[in-house]
Order: sequence, then structure tokens, then C-alpha cells
Amino acid sequence: MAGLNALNSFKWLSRNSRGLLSGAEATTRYLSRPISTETSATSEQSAREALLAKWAPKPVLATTYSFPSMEPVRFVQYPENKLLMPLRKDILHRAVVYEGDMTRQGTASTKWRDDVRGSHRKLRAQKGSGHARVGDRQSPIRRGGGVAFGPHPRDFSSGLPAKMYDQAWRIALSYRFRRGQLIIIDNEIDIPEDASPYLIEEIFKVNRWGREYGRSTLITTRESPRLFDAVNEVGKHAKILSKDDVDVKDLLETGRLIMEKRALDRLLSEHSRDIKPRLAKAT
Amino acid sequence: MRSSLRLLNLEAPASQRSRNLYVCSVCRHEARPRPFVARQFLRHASDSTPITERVRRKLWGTDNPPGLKDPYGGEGVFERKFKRGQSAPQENEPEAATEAAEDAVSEDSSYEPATTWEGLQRVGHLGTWSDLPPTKADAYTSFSLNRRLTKPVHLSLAAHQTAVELSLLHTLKKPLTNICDVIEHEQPVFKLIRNCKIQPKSSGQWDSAVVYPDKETEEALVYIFEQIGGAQEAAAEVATEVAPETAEDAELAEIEAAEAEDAEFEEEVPTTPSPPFFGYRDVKDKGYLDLSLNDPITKFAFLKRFSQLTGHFFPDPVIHQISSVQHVMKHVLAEQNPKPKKLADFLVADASLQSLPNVKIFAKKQKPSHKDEELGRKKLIDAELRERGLV
Amino acid sequence: MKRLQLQRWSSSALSSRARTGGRLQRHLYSGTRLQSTNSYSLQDQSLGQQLAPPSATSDVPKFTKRQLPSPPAEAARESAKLAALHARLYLPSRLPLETLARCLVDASADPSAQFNNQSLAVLGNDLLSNYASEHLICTYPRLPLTVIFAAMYAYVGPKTLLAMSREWGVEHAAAPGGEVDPGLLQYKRLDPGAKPDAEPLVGTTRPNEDQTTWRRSITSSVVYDNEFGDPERAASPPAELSDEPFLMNDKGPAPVTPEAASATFARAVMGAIYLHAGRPAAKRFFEQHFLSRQLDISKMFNFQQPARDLTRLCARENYDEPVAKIISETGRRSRTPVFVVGIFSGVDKLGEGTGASLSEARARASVAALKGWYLYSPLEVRVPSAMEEDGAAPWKPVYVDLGEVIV
Repeated sequence: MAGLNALNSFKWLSRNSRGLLSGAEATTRYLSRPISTETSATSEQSAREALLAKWAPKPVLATTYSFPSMEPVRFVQYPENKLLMPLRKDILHRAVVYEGDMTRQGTASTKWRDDVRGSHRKLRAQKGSGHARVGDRQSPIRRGGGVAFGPHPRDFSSGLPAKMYDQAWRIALSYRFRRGQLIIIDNEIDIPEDASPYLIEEIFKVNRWGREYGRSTLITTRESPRLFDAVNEVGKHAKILSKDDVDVKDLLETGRLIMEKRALDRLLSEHSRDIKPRLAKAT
Repeated sequence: MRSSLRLLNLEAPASQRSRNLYVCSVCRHEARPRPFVARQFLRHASDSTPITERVRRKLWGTDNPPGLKDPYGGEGVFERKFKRGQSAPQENEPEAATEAAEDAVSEDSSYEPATTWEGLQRVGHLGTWSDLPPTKADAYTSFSLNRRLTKPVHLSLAAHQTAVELSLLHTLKKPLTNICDVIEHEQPVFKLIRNCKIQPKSSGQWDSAVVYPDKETEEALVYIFEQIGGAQEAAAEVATEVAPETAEDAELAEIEAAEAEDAEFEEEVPTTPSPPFFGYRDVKDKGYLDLSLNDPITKFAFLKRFSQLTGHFFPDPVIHQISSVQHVMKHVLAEQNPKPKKLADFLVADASLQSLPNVKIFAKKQKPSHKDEELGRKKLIDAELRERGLV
Repeated sequence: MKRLQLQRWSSSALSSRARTGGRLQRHLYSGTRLQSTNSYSLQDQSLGQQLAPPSATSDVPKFTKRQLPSPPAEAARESAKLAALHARLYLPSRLPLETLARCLVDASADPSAQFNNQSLAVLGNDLLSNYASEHLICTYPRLPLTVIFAAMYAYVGPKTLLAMSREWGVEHAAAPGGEVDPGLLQYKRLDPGAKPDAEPLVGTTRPNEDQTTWRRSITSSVVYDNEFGDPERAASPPAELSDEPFLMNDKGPAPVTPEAASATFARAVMGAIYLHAGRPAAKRFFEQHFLSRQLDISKMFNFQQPARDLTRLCARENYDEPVAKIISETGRRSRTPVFVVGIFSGVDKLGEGTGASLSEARARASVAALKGWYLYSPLEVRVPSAMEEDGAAPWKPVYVDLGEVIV
């Protein structure tokens, strides 16, 4: 009787394991082995492929617009490791600090007591004058003396691993994208020849990009003086940068980014050293 | 007033001195003692020639010294100011009256001197852009509606219209985004579209999801939509032919009639804003909500057309989440009433939260004294204050 | 098994205020509270008023909330703090907010026994010490008495109860009164700088308490002292519930420490749960909040001469004489030698210990052997209160050891 029970339970187990074929992979492998090796090998592989396909990272769909009219043009795809990076505040912080350090001028300059011109003669005798003892006239406590440990020109720039900095770029762009604050322009950002800043004001008003919505940064590929002058006239609403002048800090600053697609592609490809396979070169 | 008094008449009457606060104390102080001298001088003056003029004559040695008649360049600021203040009592002076008469002859009778700069025409500027009015090149035509439609009725009308249009194009196998060339339909066409119903087949298919009220409508719409991307005018003509038969009720017919009349006149002047969707206020069916938007092309076309009609912007993450027309409507309606930022507003909005036992909403702002009262500390503070005689 | 009528039993401990139902009780209550609503600071002026015959309806508006010694019962429903505390403790819904509010009123705030938590705390204390002691004795039947007392103190002592009421998020009112939020623990605070234990306790349950030089044995504290082995004030004969409690004393009730007030509150909660939700709920509450606290009993031992104790123990239990043997050693002549010593009784190894010297290692080994003996715990622990459950198996007497070795 007991033997029959055991057999029954084994049957149930095997049936169950069949049912599991499409489900958890690890269970399948262990349970289905003694039953039918040949069939399970192929199904296992296909299940694995199906799973891999299911969990494979999907590219991101982004809409592009044509600039002045803001007409949606098409959907474009970006890989998920470019526009869907998880937010890492620490990396962003390090990148912004790195950039801040880099932009420090570091030209503060003073003369220490050695650098001040003049003789190092003792001003008066050590004893007998009734005054306090003094040294030379370059002493920091004297008028006209040197500055005690004052600043000298130096380089404030700090280091950041290039791969981390590249990641920071993509994290910043992904953060903007995920919050819906990245607007990609299919064509070139430009205004007509005889347009005045009124046009920029109007565009910003209609599209709700202005100051009441947190300002916006326009990022162009090419630095056209006419457009830049016009936008800088309405600086309370807008900020404009060419692709080469952009920093991570600028990406994080205003309410939204309005970027030319070419500029975005360029930035992304320039800052993906950590994901690009580097080919070995013969030396 | 004689011009020699220009500098000497600086002392303001006591009543005015308090009003003209902007006269700096130094000026007032310096100006004060002089008029006594001047008045004395004036009293003894034998002729009308002012002393400055006489000094000039003496300096030049002739009776007609060269130079400007008034070398000081007209009346000073203060003088003008005070003159205006004194003009009322001086009216009976014959000199002033004659001067005024002369002025009146030379100038327009309706001239009224301004007291402030407000409302005056601006003359002369530095030529910056903000000094000039916007030019023709500054006109901005947005793809979508310049103002966002907020009423739920309008939004559902737009969604329904978009759904009908796109499923028609689906059936006709035409590129979906062509519909965006038609910014606004003629009213009869819109009426035809509105009469159509959407009944999606399984899993929100777009193909032949439109249910036409009758054969004529179907033919007309198919004909119109065949033209889209090509000639637009033909479509409009057909539409006007079909229109009168499909009028539903008297009220709507009236609206249409009025609109049609207006439309004839307004063809030349299209700038006057008409009510969105010709004043229609209801959607006939809800079938369009079930349409699926999983296909990227359809989704793109739908959102493009919808944002063109309503002026709403769809950011990319929202587009990613959208999988049916229902989601679009949910998103657009949620944009109208965003979640309150303050906890108190949030609690006030929800009655079920207010009835929770551990939630208590006070009518007044709670201050530290309330906290003292609640902790039982206030009576001790009161007692101590009373004991020291401070209350 | 028949269900116990807890409500009927509890009427002695629970005032009519706490119970929302019952028209009869409410009727009885209406008179008494109105006589005792004046705060003691106003007692002289309102003496005549108190003696005047109370009329239930007309007198009500005269009393403001501030004159009450503790918040009125209807304020309990208004308090968000109280509701939050009720929810946070996951108290049964059968325990009304009014009773929880009463648990928060110490006797020093409201001396009236009908409105303070004294009666609930007495019941709760008995329950707590019963559950804790049966758990300790049944789990470790050989524990020495001093360790039992210390463990009891660690489980249900006032310091633990203070810590628990802090963990429960109970805040303390600055001063008690009718206007105070009922969700705050209310008691009369000590003046700053006052020492609560300045004068020695008098009127304890011990005989000859004036003889301070006499030795107090542990055994005597089992008989005379409380569950922690500390002297306890003798219970006074139950005074009848006086309507004018302020007249007893000029200064009003004595102030208490936050520790004492918190402990009373925690006990009162236990008593209230027992009364309202029944014994299973009370026991569950005890297990979830008290027994779940980690207590390492092996750290509570303090042996003066472990080797001698072990010898006596072996003699008592008729084991072979314990012998210390070096199991291994390293660096005997070095700066840091290590010896591993085992204590053997015949062939059985009783314990093992390591030390920097032979004697230290032997002492440690003896301690290990003693702890192994005293910390014996049966595999299946069953406490007497488990018998109260429905369909409980018949009781098998629990083995309890003779106790520690008396040297």
C-alpha cells in the first residue's frame, strides 16, 4: 500500500515538473532530467531564449519635434543605457563638483614675506629702545609687510575617472528624460532672419517653457550669433548653450532641456566611453 | 510772471511746502531768505526792466545786449511747479490772462498739460528690440492649439474625433499622420464624424472600428478621407451638400445655421475665435476609450492629432505608459486637477481621510499656546504670570 | 468549556466610565463625577459647592475642562493621539478608547479610583508577574533565585516598562488636567531636584523592618518581598471610594517619577486588555511585547567561587568529584599563554574554559559547568497558564529543581 502511495506521489511530481517546463527554469532542469532528456534539452533552450528576450533591455522611445512649431515628427529609439540610466545622485554630485573645481580660476596671488621687496635689516636693536622687539619690515604684522600664508596662483582642478564622468552625463540626461523634461528637436533650433526676441518670448509662452515653468535651456549644435543674441535678450525665460559649452551642471539646472537631436546624439556618443567596447590596437 | 523772478520766487507757500516733499532741504533753505530782498527790490523798482537785464545791459554797455533774450534757458523746474500751484489765485491778473490768451491762439484749444508721464506718447528711444513693436516675422504659429482645452467634454470630443479619423485612415490604408494637415474640419464634416460610433473589435483593433449611422455618411466620409493629403476643397464641397439632412434636433440645427452664416462671413476674417468643436457639448458613445495604442505608429498618430486638437503636451515617459485611449484621457484629466501639495489640502479634499480617528483638522492654525494648552502647561504658565502680576 | 463572563468580573476594577454600554452604570456615574470635579487648587472656595446636593443637568455647564483633574471620557473620542496609540499597539477593537484614556491617568493626577488607572494597574501587574514568572520557572527550572529576581526585573520591572512605553510612543503631559489631550500620560511630576528615594521605605510587608543590621536572606525575600525581591509597601485596607479625595490631604496626591507613572500605565494597559478582550488576548499581548524582548540569562550569573560551588553541586547530586584537566595549552612561557581546561566528573566533561593562567581557565571552566547546570531547559516547555486554553492536554507536572547550591 505504501509503495503505491509513493508511486502516485512520484507521478504527481513528474506531471508537475512537466507543467513547470514553461515556468521556473532551475526547477525544470532538475526535475525533468530523468524523464526525457532529449525533448527537455530543446525546450529548455527555447524557454531560456524566451526569458532572455523577455527580460532583455528594451530601447527607449522618444518623440522628436520640429522646432518653432513643436510638431511631433517621429519616434526615435535610444538604448536604455543612454537615456534610461538609474539615478545616481552621488555620481552627479561628484561630476558637478569636478566641473566646479575645474572652472575655478585660481589666480589669487599675494606676496609672502619673502616675496616683498626690501632689505631684511633688523629695524631696531633687540634691546634698549624701550619698544617691543621687531624683526624686518616684511613681517606680516607690519604695514607693508607680506601676507601670512596668503594665496598663490594654483590649479584647483580635481580628478574624476572618465568613465564615471561619462556616466554622469548620461545619468543627467536620463534623469531629465524620465521626468519628461527632455525635448528633442528633430531639425535645427533657429529663428527667421528678421525675427526679434518677441518671437522667442511667444514660443516660450505658448509652449509653457518660460520663467513660471522653471525656465528652459536650449542646446544647439552650432553657435549662431543671431539666435544666441535673441535668446539672451529674454534671459529670464531661457538660456542657450551650444553643444560644446554644455556641462553636466547645465543639464541639471533649468526646468527642462530643449535639445537638437544632433546635439543629443553627439553628447551621448562622446560620453559613452564606459559602454563602448574598446578595440585593442596593435602597437 | 517776469522772468527775473525766476530764481527769486522759490519760496513756496506754507501749504505747498509740505506737499512738495521732493524739494531737497538744501534748496529750500537756500531759497528761503532771498525773496525778502527781492520783494524789497521790487517794491522800489521804477520800471519793468528786471535787475538781471539791467546788469546785462550795463555789462555790454548797450541797451540791446547780444545773446538770448532769456539766457537761462526757460523756466526752471521749481518755478514751473510753483506757477502751476499758484495759477488759480493768479487768474485775475491781467498779464497772466493775456499770456494765456496768446497761448490759446497759438495752440490747440483742447490741449491739456499732463501732470504725470503716464499715458503720454513715448518719443524717442535707444532702438532696442523692446522699444519696437513685434514685426510680422515675430508671428508664431504653433502646431497645436495655442491654449489648452480643459473641459472634459472638449477633451472627449477631441479624442472621439481623433479615433474616428484614425480608424478611417486605417481602413483606407493611408498614412495616419496625414490627418494633421486638416487643422479644423468644416462643421458639416465634423458633424458627420461626430455621428459615427466606435466599436473596436477584439483587443482594441483600429481596422474598421467605425460604425456609421447610415450609408450616406459612410460614403461621404470615405470620399472626404480619400481626398486627405490631396485636394481639400472637394471635401468641403461634399460636406456642405450632405449636411442639412443629418440635422438632429431643432436646437442643434439653430446652432448650425448660426454657425454656417457666421462661417460665410468669417471666411475672410478667420481671426475671431469660434467655440471649440462648434459648440457641441456631448459625446455620443464611449467605444473609442477601448481602442488600443500599443502600436507605436498608431500611438504616435493619435497623440499628435490629439495634441493638435487640444493643445496638450505629452512628455515621453507618459507616452511610454500609454497603452489605450483610456490612458490618454486619464492623463489629460489628471493634469487638470493635480494632487495638492499641502497635506492639509489633501485631507480636506478627501472626506474618508477626515473621518479617520487619528486625523484631526483644526479650523485655526495651531500655535505654541495651543500646544501648551494640550500639554497642560498653559495653566501653570498662567498661574506663574498671575503670581508675578504680569497678567 | 463555558465562556467566562469577564465583563461581570471586571466591574470591580473597571469604572462605569470606561464602559460605553450599560445604562445602569451610566446612571450611577452621573452623580459621583459631578461632586469631584473641582481641582484641588480651588478646593477651599468650592467646598460649599461640593456639599450642595448635585443635580445632574443644571450643574454641568458650571465646570470648565480645566477644573477637572483628568480629561473627561468624551474627550477620548476626539483625541487623534489616543486613536493613533490604540492603532499602533494593535489593541483589540473591543478595548474602547475611553479605557485606554483611563490607563493614561495616574493616581497622582486624579486620585479618584474611578477615574485613574490604579485598579487596572494592580490587575495588570499581577498578570505580568504571573506570566513572566511561570515562563522563567518553566523554561529554566534550575535557575537560582537571585537570577530569577533579576530576570523578572528585566522582563517586567519598572525600568523595562518605562522603556516600553517610550517605544510605544507615549508622550507625557506637563501637568494633568481636564484640558489635556487624553492621549498623553498624565501624572503629577516631581519638583525639579527632588529625590524620589530619599527616605527609606517604611510600612513594608517585612517583619522587623526597623532592624536594618539584620541579614536579609534570599529565602525571606521570597516570602516577604515583591516579585523582584525588593521590599514592598504593605497594602492598606481598601478605602471606600471617596467622593472628595482632595480633602484627605492638603497637598493633594504625592508626585511620582516618570518611571513609576510609565510602569503603572503599561501595567494598566495589560489589565485593560485582560478585562476587555479576555485572557487569550492578554497573553498574546504579553508574548508579543514582553517575551519578545531579548534577554540573555547566562549573563546574569555572578559566581564568587565557581570551583567550590561546582564541588558542592557534584556532592549534592552524587556525581564524582570534579577534576580540572588541561586539554591543551600554548605559549606557557610566553607573554600571552592560553590554557584550555576542562572540568571532568568521572569520564563526563562538565565544562570547558580558556584563560591566560591555569587558575583562570579552571574558574572559567567551572563557570561554564555551573551555567550548563543552571541553564538547563526542558525540550518542551509548557506553562500552567497554557491549561486555560480550550481543549488543552491534561497537565503534566513541571519539573522544578531544588534550586541553587547553598555553600
